[in-house]
Amino acid sequence: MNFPQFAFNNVRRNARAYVAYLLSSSFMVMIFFTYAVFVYHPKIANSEMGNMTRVGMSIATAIVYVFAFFFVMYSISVFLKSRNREFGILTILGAESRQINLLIFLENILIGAVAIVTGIAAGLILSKVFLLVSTKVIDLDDLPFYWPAKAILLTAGAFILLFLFISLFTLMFIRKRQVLDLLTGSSKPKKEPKANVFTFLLGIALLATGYWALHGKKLDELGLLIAAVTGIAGTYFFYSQLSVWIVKKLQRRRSAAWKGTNLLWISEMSYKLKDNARMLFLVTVVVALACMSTGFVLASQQAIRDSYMSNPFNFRYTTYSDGDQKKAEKDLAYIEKSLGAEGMEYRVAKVDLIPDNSYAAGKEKTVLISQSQFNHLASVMTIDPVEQLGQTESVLVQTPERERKYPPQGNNMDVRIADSTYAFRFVSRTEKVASLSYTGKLLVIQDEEFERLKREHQAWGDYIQNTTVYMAPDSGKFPGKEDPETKLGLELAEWNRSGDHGGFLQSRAENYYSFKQTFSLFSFIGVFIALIFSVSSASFLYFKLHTELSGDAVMYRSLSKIGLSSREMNVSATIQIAVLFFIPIAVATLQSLVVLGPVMEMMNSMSPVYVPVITASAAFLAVQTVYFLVVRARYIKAVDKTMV
Amino acid sequence: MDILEVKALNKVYSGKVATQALTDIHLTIREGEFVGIMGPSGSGKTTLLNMVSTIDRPSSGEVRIGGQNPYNMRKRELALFRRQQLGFVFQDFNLLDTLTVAENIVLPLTLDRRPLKEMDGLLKQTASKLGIEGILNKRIYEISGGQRQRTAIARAIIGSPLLLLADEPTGALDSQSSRAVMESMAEINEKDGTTLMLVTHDPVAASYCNRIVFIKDGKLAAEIHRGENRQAFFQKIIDMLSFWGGNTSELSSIRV
Repeated sequence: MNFPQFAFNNVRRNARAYVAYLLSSSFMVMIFFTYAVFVYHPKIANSEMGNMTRVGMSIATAIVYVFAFFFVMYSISVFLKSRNREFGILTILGAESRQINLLIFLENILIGAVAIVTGIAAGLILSKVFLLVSTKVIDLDDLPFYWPAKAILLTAGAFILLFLFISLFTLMFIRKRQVLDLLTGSSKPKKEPKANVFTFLLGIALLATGYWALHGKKLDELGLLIAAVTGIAGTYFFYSQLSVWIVKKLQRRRSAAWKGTNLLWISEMSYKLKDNARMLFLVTVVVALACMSTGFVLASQQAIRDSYMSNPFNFRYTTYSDGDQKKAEKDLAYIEKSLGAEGMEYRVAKVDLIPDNSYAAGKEKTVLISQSQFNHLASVMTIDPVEQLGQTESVLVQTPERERKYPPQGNNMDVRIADSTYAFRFVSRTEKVASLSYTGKLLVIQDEEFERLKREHQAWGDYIQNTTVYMAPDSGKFPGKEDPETKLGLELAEWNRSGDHGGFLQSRAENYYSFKQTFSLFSFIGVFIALIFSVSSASFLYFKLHTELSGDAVMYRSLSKIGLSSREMNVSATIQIAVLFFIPIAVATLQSLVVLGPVMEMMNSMSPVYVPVITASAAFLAVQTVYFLVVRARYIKAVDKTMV
Repeated sequence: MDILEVKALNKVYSGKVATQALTDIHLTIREGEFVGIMGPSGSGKTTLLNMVSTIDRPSSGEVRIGGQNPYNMRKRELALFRRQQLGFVFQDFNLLDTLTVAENIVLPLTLDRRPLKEMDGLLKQTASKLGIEGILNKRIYEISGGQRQRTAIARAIIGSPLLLLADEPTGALDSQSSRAVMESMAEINEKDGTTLMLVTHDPVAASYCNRIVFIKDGKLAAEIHRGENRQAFFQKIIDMLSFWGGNTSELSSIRV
């Protein structure tokens, strides 16, 4: 038997010990590969996506890789530790350290090769299944299966590098250990980590930098990148420092610590503090990403729905006073004919609008409408009309979304027409009709005043906006692909885009539908990332508990001899497992709230992000709870079996 | 009062080849006794101890501790019974590395949710009995083997158990520490009147007992009582061992 044979047989005959390590490595390869299959999918790679999405996806790729690195690193260190005795015996038998190094190196390469091959094979099947399922679930044209040569190369390359690096790294790790240490194995406790003021401040500074990058100025790609790096690093320090601090505090409060099973789990946690902090950190990052991507998908869908709901006009045709009025009349006739042909019941109203000049003074535009036209519109829409107004009196109508964001201040506002400013006293109202103005801000003024301002406005060379709106009875539902409104909207939008027309037609159903179409691909990617990360966080925790199980079982067994009941063991173990599973969700929710707000704002969404984020994290909470119950049950069952 | 009653105890380990580990054991320990169980390796000492300490079930026969039959109890009751009525001292200490010495000692009391004040009082009392007051805040890996075993004894007696069971408590200790540990146990027996059952094959350790029961091949073989003189008792033990053990090489580790 020569040495490589020995190494090979060692793996083959001791398969049970290697299987956990092999499985976890292979699992990480699979995750990374499946992700790569999507990123390099021709349809996704060639799609028109913003820079922001691209940066987001690269960040996710990097995190998957870093995650894989830590995961493999962690499993190999656990694995080698469990074999310390074996190395000790080999050393005593006279094996040179060179030979042991070679043994570990060969084993790692062997396991790495197997993991890469099996991981890619499993990934091929997984991505195929995922493509099949997802195209069914999501309203997506279809994402065909392809031969992912690029993804295979990337995965194989990345993981060969990773295994090589880790092999070399572990050699350094082993070399400095004494034979005695190896033989007595892991009975020596790890050094207790200490809370350190400097590291603590560093963590705070990092988190603050991340927060500033997100909220300080207008967010751009660089800001997002900075926030990702500092946020992740900050999270690590947050856990490593805060957990030390909390556990120490708990230990010092004897009235709480010396009660029931508290003593047991608190001390266990302080013992595993370093490992736990790392685990919490990794799981948090992963869950936060999953939460963010789901939250992003939900928030964007919400934004699309909101913009549909807030628009009370099924169709809207806009011309400007400097446009071709004849063509406009022809267009209107055509639109009405089309509506009639489709058999749609509709009401129609025409309004003249003055968009004021405020933007020249660096303020937001206000759109003016005359009282009589507003009241006509109000009667068509069956909303309250406006009472007779004085010359400087007005009614400020805002959309509900705008109202939420900018509640009106005071009761005076300035309007700028030509180069002079007019002050109006106002009372405010909230109506959807204000979406006539794209800023969501409509000011109703006295008819005579309106005519005067209109003349002045046009004399200055500015235009008046003539808008015709069509309203059909509201079905209260979102338009589907087959609805007549959608069909007509698509048709008319196409008609309006092609050829020479006097004005611009908007259909809210067409808007909604085409946004939804464009967005479905990203929903798909977002959900996919979330799914992958959620599964990997659970398997990560499972692996940790699995490796700790044998040690814990010995401890609980000896405690059961002196009278620890199964139920007490259950309580102690459940608390420890629950901390690992649920604290990351809480922190990840917080992080998602902080991150998604500015990201959505950058995407010009008016909708608040907390609803989608809470929804997403509630979903993860549910999923994580299922994982938790399964993992906990298995762990407790295994420990219970060893108790006497 | 009889603390422990063992009647017609049999233990068979089933397997490919069934092994009769214990055959028809009868043993009674009265309150305040310090009983040693001796015998050569494989004689069934530890099996007997496991039966008494409710860790393993007998195949037939009866074990009563303080008049109760632990094998009729449910799992949770049994755990409580162990915690409150029995004390354990093991060869490998079975202390938790994660806890300090003080925390290790009070662990059974915290599981019972005793008030902090009471725990502190008992801790102080027990620690001074065993001479380990100075190391209460140390971690287990920072103290010596003898100190570890005395910590384990403190943990075993802090709840004032009905019966203290010791399985080779000196097996992992040097002679100096062994003596300190055995003296502590003898003192607990004499001063507090705690009933002890000790399994050992160290004749020096055994010489601290009042009575020694010898087991060979799973059967009771002999019983000797201690008189006034420990030295004479020790000699008697040696004689018994060489007679029952039949193999003098097992006595090579004699230390006086």
